[in-house]
Amino acid sequence: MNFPLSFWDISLWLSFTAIILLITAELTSQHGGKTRLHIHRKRLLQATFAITLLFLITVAIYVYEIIVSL
Amino acid sequence: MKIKVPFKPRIIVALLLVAILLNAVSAVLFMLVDHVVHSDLYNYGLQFKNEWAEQYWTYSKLLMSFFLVAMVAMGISIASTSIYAQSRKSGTRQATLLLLTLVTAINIISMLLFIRINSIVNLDLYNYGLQFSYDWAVPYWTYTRLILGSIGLAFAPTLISLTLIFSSAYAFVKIDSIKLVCITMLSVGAILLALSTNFSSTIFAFVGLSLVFWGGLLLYIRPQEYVKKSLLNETVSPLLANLDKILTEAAYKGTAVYLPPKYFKDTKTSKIYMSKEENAKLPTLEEIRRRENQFLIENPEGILLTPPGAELTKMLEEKLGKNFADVTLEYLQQKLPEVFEKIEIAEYLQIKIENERVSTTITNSVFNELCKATNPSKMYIRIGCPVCSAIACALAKCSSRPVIIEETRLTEDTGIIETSYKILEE
Repeated sequence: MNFPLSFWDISLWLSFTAIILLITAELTSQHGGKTRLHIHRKRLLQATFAITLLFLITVAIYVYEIIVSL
Repeated sequence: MKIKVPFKPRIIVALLLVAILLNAVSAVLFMLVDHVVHSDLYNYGLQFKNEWAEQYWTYSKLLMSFFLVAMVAMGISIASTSIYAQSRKSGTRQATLLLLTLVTAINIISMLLFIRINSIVNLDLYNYGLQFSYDWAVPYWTYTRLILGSIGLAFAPTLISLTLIFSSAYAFVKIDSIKLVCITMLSVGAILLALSTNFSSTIFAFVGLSLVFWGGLLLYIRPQEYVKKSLLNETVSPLLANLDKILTEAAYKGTAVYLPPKYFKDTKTSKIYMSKEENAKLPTLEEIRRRENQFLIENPEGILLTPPGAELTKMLEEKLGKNFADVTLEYLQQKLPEVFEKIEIAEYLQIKIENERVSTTITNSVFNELCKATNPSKMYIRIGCPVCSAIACALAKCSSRPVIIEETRLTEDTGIIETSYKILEE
């Protein structure tokens, strides 16, 4: 009974989700044109930044592992 | 969306009968599994040992007992549902709900017990000489899948019956469709994640992870309540036009003075005093307190009005968790722009304080259209638009001194409202 996703699978998933969220957040912004999406835009941006940050952390871990293995 | 859930005892009884039948099927199928383990597997090298047998027997006896208890509890639930349909006593309804909750819990435990028994057969028994063969494995796998399916299927009608009995006690059940979708996504995602660990499936894991994430995200970002800006303007502008008409026709020439809370018994009150004559003195504190709930003031002659921004000020206080009467001007200068941006009253607010004068610059306020409609009426010039009025109320509360709006100017092209306030000496 092991969770089938590895750390790098999660990292890949985070990167895709972050890209989708960043595009969505930008499309729904006041500066990107009016939309009729009734959502809490600030919270969407908060979630986007949180996911992006998590992805960057996984990248930092990856870089750290490469440096340590040298 | 509000829906009425009628009490349908026949449907509930039918669902419970289906659940009893499925539990009975699970029990019979488990007997077949037990037969495979206790007779067939010995033909494929399995050695009897107390170590595995005691564990297996304990779990199998518990599982059979749970099937029996679930069937008895559902039988009693059918009887109590019928009684409730006749008597409508809340005690009977609660007893039925309790029994069905017990059955739901038993179903979950039964599934976990069976998974444990399955792991004994599929993992532990190989340590006691068991040799793998499709001859025993195929019927065994068929029975296990059927058992898991029938326990899962028995769980669904029990849960539906439980929901129907629970919701029928209320005349109307309010269903938030967005919330329902989000919760469904979260639940399905969680189940898929659990299954992914059991079956080591990456597809289940990715789908489950995504459903949980998007379900949670949609629940987090969905708005509370939104109304169109045009609706706000159309509703508020006639009220402000009426106020302007009253002020013009009654010929009140004095400046609108925003009074501090000390003039009132309730410190949360915000009111404007407007004198009949120009340059008239403010009424005394006692005079205003005596006539606090009246419209007309006699000495000197004038009126007491609730400003258009009074409720907005209360909302700002609630958002900041502070009474403006207890904060300093510097606090207001720092925090008011933050809360304006947070609750999206305006894109940008700047407050400048120079001795007794306070000037504000508001960019793209939601009330801009309203300001355009009321500009250049007397009401707009003296009392201000709802946002300027709210700031004036806040300044009067914070400084504990009367405040007037000296000048307010709306630049239509840029959507900027510039207002200057004066904090008066008493």
